[in-house]
Amino acid sequence: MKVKALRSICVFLAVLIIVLSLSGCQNKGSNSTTGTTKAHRTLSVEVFDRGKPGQPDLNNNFWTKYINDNFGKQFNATVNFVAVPRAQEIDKLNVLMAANQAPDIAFTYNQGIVYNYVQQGGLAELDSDLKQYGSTLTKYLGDDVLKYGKFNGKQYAVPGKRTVLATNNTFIRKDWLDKLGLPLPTTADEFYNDMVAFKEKNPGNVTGIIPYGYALNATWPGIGTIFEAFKPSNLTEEQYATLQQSNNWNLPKYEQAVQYVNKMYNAGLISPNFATDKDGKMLDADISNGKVGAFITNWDGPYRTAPGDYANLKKNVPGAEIVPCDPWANDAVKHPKQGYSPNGMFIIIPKTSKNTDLAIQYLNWMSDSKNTLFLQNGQEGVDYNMVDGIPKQTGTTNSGDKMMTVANNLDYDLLSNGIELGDQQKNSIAISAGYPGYETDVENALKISLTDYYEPYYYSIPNSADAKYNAALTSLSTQMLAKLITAKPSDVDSLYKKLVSQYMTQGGQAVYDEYVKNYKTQNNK
Amino acid sequence: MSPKIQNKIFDYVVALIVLIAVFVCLVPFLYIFSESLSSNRAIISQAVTVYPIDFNIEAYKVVFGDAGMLYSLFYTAVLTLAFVLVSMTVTILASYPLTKKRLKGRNAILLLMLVTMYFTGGLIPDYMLVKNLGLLNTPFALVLPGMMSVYYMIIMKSFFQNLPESLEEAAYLDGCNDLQILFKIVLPLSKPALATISLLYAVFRWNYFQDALFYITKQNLYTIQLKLYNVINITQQLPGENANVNLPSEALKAASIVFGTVPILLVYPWLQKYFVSGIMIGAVKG
Repeated sequence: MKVKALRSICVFLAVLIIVLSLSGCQNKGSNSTTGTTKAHRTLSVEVFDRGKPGQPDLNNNFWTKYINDNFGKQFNATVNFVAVPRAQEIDKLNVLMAANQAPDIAFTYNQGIVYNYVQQGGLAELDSDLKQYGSTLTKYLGDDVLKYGKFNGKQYAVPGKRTVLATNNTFIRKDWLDKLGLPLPTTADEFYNDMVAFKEKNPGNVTGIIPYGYALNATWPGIGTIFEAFKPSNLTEEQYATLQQSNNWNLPKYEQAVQYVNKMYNAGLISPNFATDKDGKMLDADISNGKVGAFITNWDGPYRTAPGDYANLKKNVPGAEIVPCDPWANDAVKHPKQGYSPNGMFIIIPKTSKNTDLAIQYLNWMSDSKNTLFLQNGQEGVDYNMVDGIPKQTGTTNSGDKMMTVANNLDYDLLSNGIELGDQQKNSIAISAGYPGYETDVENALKISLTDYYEPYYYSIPNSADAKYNAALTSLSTQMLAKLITAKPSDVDSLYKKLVSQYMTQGGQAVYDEYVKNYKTQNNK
Repeated sequence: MSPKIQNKIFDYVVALIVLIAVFVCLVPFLYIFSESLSSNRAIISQAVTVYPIDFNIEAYKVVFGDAGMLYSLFYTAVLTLAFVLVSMTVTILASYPLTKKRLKGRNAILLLMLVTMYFTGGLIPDYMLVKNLGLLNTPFALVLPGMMSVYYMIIMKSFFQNLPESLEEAAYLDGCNDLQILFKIVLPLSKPALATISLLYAVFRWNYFQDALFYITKQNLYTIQLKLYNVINITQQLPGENANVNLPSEALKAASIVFGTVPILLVYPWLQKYFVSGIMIGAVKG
């Protein structure tokens, strides 16, 4: 009886398969629609959904209306926005690409993903369309930015332009220094002595003082800009390109930098729970509660509205003052800081798109300074007022139909990552205007963060070993730093050698070798 | 000590332990609730514990002022209800026949179903299937693919199996057909199981958001959990962005969580009676 039943099930399934596969064929036939270029077209464009409560419909608001009323009318097209959740953008993009459902214009910040798509033949080649329709666009971006979208010598992505290249800053409690009669530290030694003075004299009279606030970030484990004070200033380009990579473990004198942090830890100068504070929330709390004397964070960290560390600190401890300082001088008395590379997100057009030309025309339209200004600031006289050539927001874009879910509407104005007024100096002033109440502080912080700025080395070939081992090596680095910083000072040397050799065998060597190989290929050595 | 007093002491000790356990379970809820009513300064400074500091209801004003959130809540409630109805129908109609020895090949059918518990097609094949069925960006994409859980179906089946067979035989002799037996005899006797499984389905649909994440791009079809997920996950600077991002405040996140969690919590007390007896389903094999 069982056999019989099984047989009938098999027959049923076989029939099902045939029926389904036939219906699949039918579907394909009816799907192809051909349109002439003059007909009305629909261009689909990705937009990040940041889930901000109160945000307008991302496909129907003030900004999308502007785009459709201007670009849409001019090119006889409807621009449709496809929302992609910000935190899951890569997963979602992968699914959309795999199912040939990706919008005509998609984007991501992740170079590895773009490279994967290129390797798998998923992206449209843009050279000829850029030549034909993208004159304003190529002029705006320039070769320095466009080269980031070139893979195997062909343009597969249009990189956005980053206007704020600053990354980190070191901040210190100016009111504490003043109380002790100390100047701003300008070297690593001075910084150390200041931390000792904070600990011993406790100028803020707080319980549980933390002279140097530190959180071991699990996504980007590192010791901030401290290593710049130890890194030799005479590295060759090849050394720089291949050694300052992969969590810096191969960088000459990195061990000394780690030792410096270890010394601070053993002298009780560092946040005791730094290793478990993976998201930095504890550090934010300690800064806000006025326990922390100095810390390294994003160049504008304390001034940001979220989490709002400086504003909280001022409420909790009246009279507290935080200023950026520049203590990490190297052997050439410079204060080098690696910033962002000049490209923003990678804008890509899937090969399945039938609107490659229209997509480039759209980006070309967007690169027009008039449209950039509108998309980033709104309507003059209503949403902003021009003061000395700098748009000053009136606050209308914080809520309702005009709400920008990210400053300067980066999610609609894809080409400029950060305010773009066509002039670096104007941009700097405009950036500071985005932090109400801290304008001069921010201007100063930006200046310090960009002192002796250098760009990450540009590789035209992505490192596939890095893509493979990155997650494992990042987590390993986090553990290594935690172990090394909390070790006995006498043990650091041997432990460092042991851990780094482990790191190298677990993928670090492969990553390094590929950097060396890529560097040589790129420079024809 | 007399045994009576000893018993009393024992009771008090047990009550105390249970009370502590209850409190431990309650603390996270209290914490989120008080965060939602506190100022951003107090939250970031980690001053908030189980009661609000700098009491204010600004966050709730934003959440309730957001028509999209209210709409999503209502939409998710309707979706959940529809999902439970469909799921229960399918589950009952699948599990009941499988308890009958008369059904030829029932073991093979069960085996086919079991296979799906251990092997899945994976994300992209699932997506292609849903796409080819034309379900993308429709509420059906959130109902049909997950409408039957084999696991719950098996629980249901073992409950049905435990019902005395003689009851059904009696009904059969009185002239009931199979459907009548199911609806008039079996189901009324299975209320605890029905309530429990319904609740499990409802909680699943209410809390699950991954399918909505991939199948839905229209904002008016977002479930409340997907919205919450978006709000909560934008916690810090994301790779590549280097701007004063207009992040939702911690209080706003907490208020959104309360907003999305309370409705499903309110369902529990009404079903509790069934739920307690339902937990024992399948525990003892007759």
